[in-house]
Amino acid sequence: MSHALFENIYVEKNAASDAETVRILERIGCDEPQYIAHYKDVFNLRKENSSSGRSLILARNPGKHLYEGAPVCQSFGNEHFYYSPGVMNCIYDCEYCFLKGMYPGRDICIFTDIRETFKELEELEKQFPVYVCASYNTDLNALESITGYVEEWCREAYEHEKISVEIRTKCSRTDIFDKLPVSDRAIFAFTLSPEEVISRFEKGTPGLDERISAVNAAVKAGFPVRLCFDPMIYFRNRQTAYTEMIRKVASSIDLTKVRDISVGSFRISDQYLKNMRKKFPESEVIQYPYICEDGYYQYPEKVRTQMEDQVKQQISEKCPGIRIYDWR
Amino acid sequence: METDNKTEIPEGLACDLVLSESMKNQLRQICIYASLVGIDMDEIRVKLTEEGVLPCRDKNSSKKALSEIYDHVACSF
Repeated sequence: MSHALFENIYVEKNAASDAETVRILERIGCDEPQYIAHYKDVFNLRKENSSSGRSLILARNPGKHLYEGAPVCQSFGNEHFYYSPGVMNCIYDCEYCFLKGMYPGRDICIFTDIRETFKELEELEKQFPVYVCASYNTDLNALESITGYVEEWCREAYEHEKISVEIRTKCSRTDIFDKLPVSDRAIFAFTLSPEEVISRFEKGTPGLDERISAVNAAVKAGFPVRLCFDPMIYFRNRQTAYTEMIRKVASSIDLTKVRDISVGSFRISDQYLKNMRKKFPESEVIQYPYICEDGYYQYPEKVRTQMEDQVKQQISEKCPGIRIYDWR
Repeated sequence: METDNKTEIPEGLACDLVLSESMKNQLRQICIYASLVGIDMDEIRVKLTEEGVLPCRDKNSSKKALSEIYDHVACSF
């Protein structure tokens, strides 16, 4: 059985009766999924044609439900910084995305035991305040019609004073925010990119205007909002493109209502880049001759400083005093 | 680092430099990127020859030349 987004729908046998599985299958109108023994039987298959259709897999997470954040992730001043792998892979097709180096194909696996994640989280909360990136390996907003997980995460933050959740997205949906439990601990982090970056390197994602509309909807609903100019991509016209993007953002969003800004140039682990260079020989982003530092490939110092400083300076000029986080 | 891109180091440039395997890999990656974004490696070679940076007779001077080539390709936009 197929769905508009998915060629095939698989359910792991041991997750078949999970409440989330039943709910998701109902949401997508699927009553005859294919049952499999383990999600890896499908998810780990390497497909010859990387643009072939993708499958949806519903499964239980056999591993950890929360991981400590990697060094190249911004912690935003939070000492106990975790991420959830609750959904693996993304419906968008960003050329530079580390998920292309991390996962073998385009299939999306949704772990249906989200309650186990919350249990682990609540155990941590007994020890210290916890900050979780819930949309780290996917774009949860873009999948909200299927999973309802954005609502679940917002409720978790709403009900637990020591749990903060960041939901990172490029999605342009404006209709979800009014339906979510609002708290200052559920932060929506929008990745904003110049139009040229979106059209060339972020295939399938909403345009800048649409993302700005989503930012304004989240602000209006009362959510703390983070604007992420990260990852910044190096390309021929980048200075003009990023300047134009900042101009548009500053004229369309009330920056005084934005919680903070995140700025970072593209960086990626050496193993992921190695995988991606084999998969995408014609990609200028992937084939850039990055410098490797401590296991992570990044732009050379003078390039990344110039790129990041340009955006930081322009944002500061538009909104003096706004809090800007730099990943380094 | 392995890649499936078939771009090779231009023969003239290869002859002008004394490179270790690691330096060859670096130069090859620079050439791959240059070909994808339309940077002409021959123009860079001519420029560096006029400036006396190329040709190089040893690994040390080649290292410096490689650094200049890198700047021309990876930091020029």
